[in-house]
Amino acid sequence: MTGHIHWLASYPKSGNTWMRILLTNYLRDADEPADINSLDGGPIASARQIFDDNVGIEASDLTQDEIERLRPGVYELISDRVGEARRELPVDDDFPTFLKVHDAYTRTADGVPLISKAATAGAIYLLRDPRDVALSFAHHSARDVEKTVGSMGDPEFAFVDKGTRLHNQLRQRLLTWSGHVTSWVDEPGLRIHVVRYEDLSADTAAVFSEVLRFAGVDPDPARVAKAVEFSRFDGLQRQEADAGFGEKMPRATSFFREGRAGSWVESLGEELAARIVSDHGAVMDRFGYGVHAGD
Amino acid sequence: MTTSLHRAYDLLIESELPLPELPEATDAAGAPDVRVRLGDVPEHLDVVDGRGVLYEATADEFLLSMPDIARFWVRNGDEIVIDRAAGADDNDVRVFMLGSCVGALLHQRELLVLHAAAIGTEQGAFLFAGVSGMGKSTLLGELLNRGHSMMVDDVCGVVADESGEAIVVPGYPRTRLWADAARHLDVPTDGLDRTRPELEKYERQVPEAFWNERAPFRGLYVLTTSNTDDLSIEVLPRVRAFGVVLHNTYRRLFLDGLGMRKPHFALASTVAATVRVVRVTRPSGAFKLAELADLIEADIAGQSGQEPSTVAAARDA
Repeated sequence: MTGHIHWLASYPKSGNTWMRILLTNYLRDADEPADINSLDGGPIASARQIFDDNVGIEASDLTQDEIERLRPGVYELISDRVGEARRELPVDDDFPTFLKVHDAYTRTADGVPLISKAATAGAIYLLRDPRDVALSFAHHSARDVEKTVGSMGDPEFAFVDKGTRLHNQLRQRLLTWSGHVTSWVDEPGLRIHVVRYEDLSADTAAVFSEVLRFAGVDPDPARVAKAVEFSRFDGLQRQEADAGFGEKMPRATSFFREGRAGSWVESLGEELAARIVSDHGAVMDRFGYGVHAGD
Repeated sequence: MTTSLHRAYDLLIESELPLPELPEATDAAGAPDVRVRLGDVPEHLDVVDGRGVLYEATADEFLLSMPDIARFWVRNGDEIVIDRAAGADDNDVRVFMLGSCVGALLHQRELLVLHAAAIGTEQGAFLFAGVSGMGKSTLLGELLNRGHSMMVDDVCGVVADESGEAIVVPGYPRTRLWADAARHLDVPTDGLDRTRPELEKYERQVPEAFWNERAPFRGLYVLTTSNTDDLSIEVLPRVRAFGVVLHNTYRRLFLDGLGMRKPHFALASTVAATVRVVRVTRPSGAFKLAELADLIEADIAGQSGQEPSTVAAARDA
């Protein structure tokens, strides 16, 4: 990997924003929690503005295939700029550049990886029990859980797929939940660090410190402890209640809903839980998500 | 080679590429300010001071390479050379020529180029900016439905006159609408050309509603969205207005390559000091187009009779 971008890659609702909040608090090292409405690592690789700023023409004048052909070049250009900027920074001020992405690791019509390896320093891949993802994702999109479970099993599932209006993001192909996971973690030649949401919940400081090490940062334990404290779920909920959160979908009632691992046991229902296991059992087993409650 | 003569952005443009969007210059006299011709374009510039995925730029030169469509070479603020790919569609060539290439040309001529739609009124020009997807063209469509006259849809040129006042120059009377927006505005798309054959985005010519005169720059409305239900309006203090003007500059990264930071900053600070800059926030979930247009019309009406200096003084008080 010769690039300068560390990707924060995940299926939606798998801890990506929480990781950005931890990283932002660690980086800023301030006396109060970072504002959730001005986080580092964003907005997202698929933001239309990032494309338009760097290509020289607007995505709104292009077809989906044309856009995807150009996206790898956008990330290479950003990576080059980061590289140039870092060469001019004092070592003490240097910090890795993170960028959130929800796209699966797919290829363009030319067969080139959308997320260019030449732009990549490494990828932090966050995953979460798909039964919890289903509940959180349904709440986030204000859709019913059954439909959401259907989308998670649909290999054609994509964000911003409709071409009749202008959206502030570009099309993102997510594949199925299992397809998303394996597209990233099994991609040959990609430097990757896998983080399970459940592990991050259970021992945030230790798991977050490993993420920092992966990105080339020697973790300072006091700063880590402070970042963890400033990123506590109840604090994030309080910030959202007080001032709102710009990344919430318009129809959702809140972004920071429950954050708890394993809530599917009470809330998902046997039928949908069984369907998820049937759709994704192999990948669930591989990452230690037992097929029975309490496993 | 047959050429046509047009007038847009107060420039006399002679073109070998048909440009039906631009008003014809029937009464033109003298040499053209800009020549658009078909010819050879180099693969790369000799010197590159700034680049994007598809462009290279240096002082006085800008090169855009659009695969399978054309390569464009914009030079010295007075020439655009187009090297078409075999079989390229005319519409495809024009989209990129009238967007990024005209933007680069105006930058080279040291205009302040804003990514904005504009209407002309007896009180002056009012601009609507915001990143792509915020609804500039849709709002412009609603204002056209209400009888306003447009100056430009997307690439808006601003100059300073002799007294230093910021003046908006008229572009051309064409807007572009996505299928959903056209439906929302009751604009039938049956007879309209698509901007490009594969896109559900349509070209709408409105020569009958063209404000074809320079107009003093009175207001800049920057459209943003929020995930709440609120529709709100906030007049920005001068210190924030400057950053907003820079941020809404058309293809602002071109400026690094073109070496145009200095004149751009000067004109942007004039605008920030003399023009009312307003942030308008609408819900991202529901457009609330009629309410948005009501709010903006009322705000414009509220400015009537006030000189910009008075507005600025009142704001700073």
